[in-house]
Amino acid sequence: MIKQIKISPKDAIRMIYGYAKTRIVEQAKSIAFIIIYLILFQVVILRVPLENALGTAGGLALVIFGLAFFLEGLVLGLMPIGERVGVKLPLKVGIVVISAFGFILGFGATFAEPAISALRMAGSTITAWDSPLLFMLLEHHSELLVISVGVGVGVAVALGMCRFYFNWSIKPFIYIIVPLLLGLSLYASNDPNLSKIIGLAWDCGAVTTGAVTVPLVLALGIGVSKASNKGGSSGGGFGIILLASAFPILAVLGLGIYLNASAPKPTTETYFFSPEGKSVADKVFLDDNELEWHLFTHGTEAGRIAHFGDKSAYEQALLSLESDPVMRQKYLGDMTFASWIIEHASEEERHLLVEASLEDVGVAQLTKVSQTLKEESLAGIQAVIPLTLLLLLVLLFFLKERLRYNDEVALGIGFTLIGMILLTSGIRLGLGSLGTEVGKHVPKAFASEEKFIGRVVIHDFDSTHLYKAVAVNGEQKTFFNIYNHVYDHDEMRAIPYHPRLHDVKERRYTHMLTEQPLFSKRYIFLGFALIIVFAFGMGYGATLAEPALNALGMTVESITVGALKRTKIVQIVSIGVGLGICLGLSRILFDWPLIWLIIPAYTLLIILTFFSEEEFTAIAWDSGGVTTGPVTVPLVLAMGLGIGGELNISDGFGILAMASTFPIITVLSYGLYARYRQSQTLNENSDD
Amino acid sequence: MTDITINKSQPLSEKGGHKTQEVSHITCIINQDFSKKALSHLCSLGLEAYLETGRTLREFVKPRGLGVTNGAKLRSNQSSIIRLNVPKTLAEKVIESIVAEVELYLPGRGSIFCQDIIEYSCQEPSFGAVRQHKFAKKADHTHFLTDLSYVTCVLSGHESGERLAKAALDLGVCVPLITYGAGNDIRDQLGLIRITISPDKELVHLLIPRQDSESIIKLLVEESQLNRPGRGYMYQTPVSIGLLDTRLKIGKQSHAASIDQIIAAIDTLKQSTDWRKRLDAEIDHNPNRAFLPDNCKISIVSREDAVEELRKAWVNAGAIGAVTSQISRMNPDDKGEMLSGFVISEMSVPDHIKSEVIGNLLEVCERLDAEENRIQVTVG
Repeated sequence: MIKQIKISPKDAIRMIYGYAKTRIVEQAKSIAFIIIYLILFQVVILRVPLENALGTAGGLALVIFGLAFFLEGLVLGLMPIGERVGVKLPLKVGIVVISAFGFILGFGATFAEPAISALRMAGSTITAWDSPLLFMLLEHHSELLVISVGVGVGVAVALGMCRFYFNWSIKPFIYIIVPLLLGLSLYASNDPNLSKIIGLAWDCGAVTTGAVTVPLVLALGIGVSKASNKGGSSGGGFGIILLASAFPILAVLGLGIYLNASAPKPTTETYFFSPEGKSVADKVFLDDNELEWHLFTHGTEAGRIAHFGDKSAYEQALLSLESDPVMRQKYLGDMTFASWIIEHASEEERHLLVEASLEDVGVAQLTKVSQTLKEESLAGIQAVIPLTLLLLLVLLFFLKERLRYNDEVALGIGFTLIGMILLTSGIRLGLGSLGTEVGKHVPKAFASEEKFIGRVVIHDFDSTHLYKAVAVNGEQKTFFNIYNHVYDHDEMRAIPYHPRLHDVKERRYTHMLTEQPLFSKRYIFLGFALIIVFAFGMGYGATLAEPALNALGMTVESITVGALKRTKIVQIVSIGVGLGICLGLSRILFDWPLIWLIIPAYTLLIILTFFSEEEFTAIAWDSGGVTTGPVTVPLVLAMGLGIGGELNISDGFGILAMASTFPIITVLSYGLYARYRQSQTLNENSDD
Repeated sequence: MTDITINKSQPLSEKGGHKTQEVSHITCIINQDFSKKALSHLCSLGLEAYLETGRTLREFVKPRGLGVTNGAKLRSNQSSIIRLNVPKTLAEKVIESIVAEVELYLPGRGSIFCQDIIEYSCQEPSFGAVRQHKFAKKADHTHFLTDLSYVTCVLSGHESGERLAKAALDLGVCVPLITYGAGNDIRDQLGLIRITISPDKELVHLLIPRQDSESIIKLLVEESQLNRPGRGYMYQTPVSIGLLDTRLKIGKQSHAASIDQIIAAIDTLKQSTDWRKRLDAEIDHNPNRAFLPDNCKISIVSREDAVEELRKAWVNAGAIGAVTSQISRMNPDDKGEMLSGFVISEMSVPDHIKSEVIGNLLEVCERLDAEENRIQVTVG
C-alpha cells in the first residue's frame, strides 16, 4: 500500500476552489457568445425588450454549472468506464459477444436519450392531408420509429466494434453507405408520400447520438481498438458515431417504404376533411376527436367549412366553441381559445368571434422551476443511469475486473447526472426560452405585411370623433385618434377607421392590433439576409457549448498530442454547423426540396473523403454526428418553427440534417489544409 | 516483457532471472510521414522498437505580417518518437543507416541521438540479425555532433509545454518536441481530493549543446516558472552522438539560405556546436535553486496493466514523479506489426535510492511474470 498524505481542510477548500473555478470559467466562456448574440439580436435588431430577464439569467447560470459538472463527470466517470470495458472485452470474449454487446448498447442508448420529442417538435406543423405518411409515423407509429432508429444505432455500434476488432478502414463504409442512402432518398423523392419523410429520416440520423452516448461509445471504441492490438498510430475510437448517424437514416427510410403501402396518398385539405374524404382520413386518424382537433389546430377555414358541410353549420359550431368549454377542449385540446383566434383563425372567423376575449393569451407560459427540475431529473436519470449501469455490470460481473479509482468513478457518474439535469433544466428555463423568444420575433424580419397580434374593443364609440384627412391627390380617408392604448401609452395616435369593424348599434369599435414589419416590401431581401446571418451566428454559438462535441474535442486533442487542439476542432465544427443551419433554413424559407441539398453536399463529402487521411476521415465524420445535442436542438428547432410557422411551411425538418453535414465538410477541408501545411515543412527543404 | 533501463549507472548485481546488458539507446524524433519508412527499415534490421506520438513545434514566419503581430506563430507538426536499443558497437552504424534511409540530414525531417544505458530485462535482447547485417559505407554528408545533452521537462498544467517550447525556439536551441503523459504518484497518495489535480503532464524534449546547458536550463526554468512549487521539473541526460534538426523556422525565407541552414552547415564543418556558445555560462549560486546533481534516469517499458504494481514498487522505494506515456511496440518477428497497450514510465531518482528502486521493480516484474503471466518475455 502506498501511504496517504493528509490534506488540511483549509488546503482542501483552496484546491477545490481552484479546480471548480477553472471549469466554470471555461463553460461560462463557451456559452458567452450565444447569450450575448441572442440578447443583442433581440434588443438591438428586433427591438423587442427581454421578457423575464431574471428567469433567463438563472437558467443560464444552471446551463454553465450543468456543462461544467457534465464534462467533468464524463472525464472522471463515464469515459474511464467505457475505455476500461473496451480494453478488457476483447481479452475475454470473441467478436460475436463484443458485437452483441455493442448492439445492446446502441439500442439502449436510443431509448435512454430519446430524440423523438425533438423530431415531434420539428414535425409539429405537418398536416395530415399533405403528408399522411409522415403524420402517421410521428403520431401513431412513433414507437416503431424509435425501435427502428434503435436497431439502426445498435447495428452501427456492433459494426463499429467489428471495425476496430478487425482494423477495417472507415472509407469503404462511407463509400457503400452514403451512395446507398442517397439512392434511397432519391427513390423516395419520386413518391409524393415518401418524399415527405426524407427530412425526418436524415434528421433522425442527426439527433440520435446524444450527449451521454457519444462519449461512452467513443471511449469504448478507443478501448477496443487499443486492446485489439492493432492500434498503432491510427486514430482509434472514431467512426462509430458516423455509422450511428447513417444507419438510422437507412432504418427510417426502410420503415417509411414499408408503411407507405398502407398509408393514403396526399390529398387536398377540403377533400380530406369533407365527408367524401372520410375514408382517407380514417386511415390516418384513430378517431373523430383527433381528426377534429387536427382540423382546428392545423387546418384552415376552408377545411373546417368542408368538414361541417356548409358555412352556416360551421359558424354555428364556431360560436358554440366560444360558449362551451367542453367543445373547446374537444376541438382545441390544450390550446387556449384566444391563442387559437390569434394564430389560426382567418379574418372572417375573427370577425365572427368579435365577442371573444383575447385576455388569456397574454399569460406567457412560464415554466415552473420545480416542475422543470422534476421532469428533467427523470429524463437525466434515464439518460445516464441505465447505460452506465450496463457498462459497470459488464465490467464488474461479466469481465470480473475492478476499477482503478472506485470513488472517483462514482463521483464522476454523480457529476454527469447532476450536470445533465442542470443543463437540460437550464436550457428549458434560460437558453431555450431566450431562443424561443428570439425565434418568435425573427419572422418579423421578413414579414411584408402587418401581423395580427390581438385586438381591443372600444366601448361607447362615438362617431363624432371621426375626422377626415386628405392625401395629396385629393383622396380622403377617415381616422380617429386614440390614446392610452397598448403600444404607445400616453401618446396620441391616428388610427384609420374601417366601417366593417364598427358595430353602430352596440356603439362598439374593434381595433385590430398589428405588428409592423421590420423592413418595407422593397427591402424584404434584407430581411432574408438578416435571418441567414442570424441563423449562422446561432448555430455557431450553440455548437460552441455542445458538451458531446467538447468531449470529442478532448479525445482528439489527446490522441493527436495537441497537434489538433480541442478549441480548434470546436471552432471548425461550429462554423460548419452555422453554415449548415443557414442552408437548412434557406430550404425552409425558399421551400427547396431537401434532396437537392443532400445530394451535392454528400457528393462533395465523398470527394473530400477520397483525398483525406484515414485518421482524419473518421474524426471528421464523427464530429458531424455529435453536433446536434441538447444545446443546439432546442434553439434551432425553436427558430426553424417560428419561421416555418410564419411561412406556412409543412415541416421544420432538414435543418438538423444540414447542421450535421456541413461540419464534416469543414473538418475534412481543414484536414486537407493541415496536411498541406505539414508537407510544407518538408517540401521546402527538398530543393537543397 | 519488461525492460528497465538506467542511465549513468554502474551495473547492478544480477538479480533473479534478469540479465544486465550495456547497450546503446537510440531515440529518433521524426516527422510522422516518415515514421512508417523508418520502422520498416528497423524491422528489416531485425530490431525491436517502441513508437510514441508527439508533436514538434516550429516558428512559422508569415509571408506578410499585418504589422500588429511580429508575424511569428508557432506551428505544430505531428511527429513520431522511435526508441530502440542496439549493441554499443553497432550504434553509429545503425544511426547512419536510419539517417540515410529517411534522409534525416535534411532540415525538417527530424533528429536522432544515442545514449549509453544499462538494460535489465528478463531475456537478452536478440541482436543476431543486426550483427549480421552488412551496413553500407558511411555517407559523406552525415557528421554527428558529440557535445549534446538531452533535456526532459515534465510540466503540469494544460498547454504549459507550449510556452516552454516557445522559449526554446526563441533561444534558437533546437526544435522542441512535446509529448503527453500521466503522473499519478502524488495523486495516489491523496483521497478523493485528487480529482482537483489533473494527472495530465506535458513533456518537452530538448536537445541542447552541452557546454551551454547550464545557462539554457537556467533560462528555461525561469521561463516556465519551474522554480515555483507544483509546476514540474526537468532533468538532463548525456548524449553520446546525435544529429539535430535545425529547421526552427518555416515560412517565408528572405535569403538564399536560411539561418538554420547556415548553422547546420557550420555545425557540420566544425563537427560540434562549440562555436555557438554565446550565453554566459555564469552559474547562479542561488541557494534556493533546486538542482540535484546526483540523480539518474530510470525508464520502465511495460504493459499498461502492470503500471499500478510497478508504481507501488517505485513509490515505496522513495521515487516520486514518474510520468507514464502510451507507446506501441514494433516487433520485427511479427512482420513489423504495431502492438499498442504498452507504456513507458520515466523518472529521475537520486543515486542513493537507485538500487532500492531497481530492486523493487525487478521483484515486481518477476512476481507478475510468474503469477499472472501477463508480462511477455522478449522472444529470443
